[in-house]
Amino acid sequence: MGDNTRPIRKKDLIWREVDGEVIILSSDNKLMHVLNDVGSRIWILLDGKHSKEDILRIISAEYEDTGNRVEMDILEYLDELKKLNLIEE
Amino acid sequence: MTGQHTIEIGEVRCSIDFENGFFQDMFNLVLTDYKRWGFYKKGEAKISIVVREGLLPPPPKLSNTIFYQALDYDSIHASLLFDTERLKGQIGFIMKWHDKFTIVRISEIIQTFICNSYIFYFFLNGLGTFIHSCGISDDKGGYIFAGQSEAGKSTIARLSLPRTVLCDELILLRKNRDGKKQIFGTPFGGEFEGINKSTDCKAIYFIEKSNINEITPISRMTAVVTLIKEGITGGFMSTDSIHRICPTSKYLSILTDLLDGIPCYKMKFIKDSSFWELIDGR
Repeated sequence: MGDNTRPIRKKDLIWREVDGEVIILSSDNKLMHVLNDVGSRIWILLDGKHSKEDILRIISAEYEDTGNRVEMDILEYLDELKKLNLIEE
Repeated sequence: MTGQHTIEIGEVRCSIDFENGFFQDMFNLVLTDYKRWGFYKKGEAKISIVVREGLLPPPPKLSNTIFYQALDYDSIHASLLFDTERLKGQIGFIMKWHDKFTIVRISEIIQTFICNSYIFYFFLNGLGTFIHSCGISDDKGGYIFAGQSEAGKSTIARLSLPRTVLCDELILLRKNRDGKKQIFGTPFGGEFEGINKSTDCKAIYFIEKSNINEITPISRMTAVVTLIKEGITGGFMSTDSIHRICPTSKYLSILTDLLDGIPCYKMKFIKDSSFWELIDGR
């Protein structure tokens, strides 16, 4: 991937991690997004310190999966979070 | 019954003071039921409510601590005001006309206001929440069967006898002083009369009528989201004036904390008592 962009969660969002699952409230405090376990793990890594490449490496190692499919899935997922206005780069 | 009345829900007392005899007369039947079911208790009240004639003026500006609502309900105009810091509420009534439904409308408004006042108390103290559910207790503890209207709460209650039905419509789940999660009956019942008893919460089941019995564990997060999204803790929470006082973020934290350590399940059930074999076998 070779992408050193460091995506970060929007500051005005409220989110909670409970038993490995993340729930996100929108800035108007109403709409909820519930992330699955991999999505939640990625969300935790979106702290502005991890690059996209770091995230790919960590997720691949933790879920014992490698290859283009994982990379595409993660990039698509990050795109979706960006479209939902939940992260910025 | 005249003068000031005190009721108790979830070990918290609330005084209700009628300044006008007519409105008290309208509510006497409900108070008699509360007394019969064990919710009418003397003692120091944490919450106080005054019922009077005449509409209450709205607060001068929007507030994160004052709840205000004006209602136009058939023969009745009502205004509701609750100061969530002082835990003091007022209901002001004006009668437009008097018909056979007036007593029901007045009783409904007062009961809803009592319920909302308790919601504020438990919410703002991070202690608990009401859940649209049927609460059953047996010698092992208490079980919450949660669901929206028509989900089967009263059916579960009927099929659970001779176990104790704490309430078949609205149950209070709250933490006690040592952090234990307990369920309490409330007087806000459906077909069954609520009773003022409590027991330790063993599990929460999100119910669905079916042609099979099936119990599937769900995560705490799924349970919390189901409670909020399906309005099982009350459509009440989505009202803007409530939302300012009880933001979803805090609500989320309270529910997450309340459900910590309580097993949660989705439960499909046949309309007979056989689902209890699955529950008892867990």
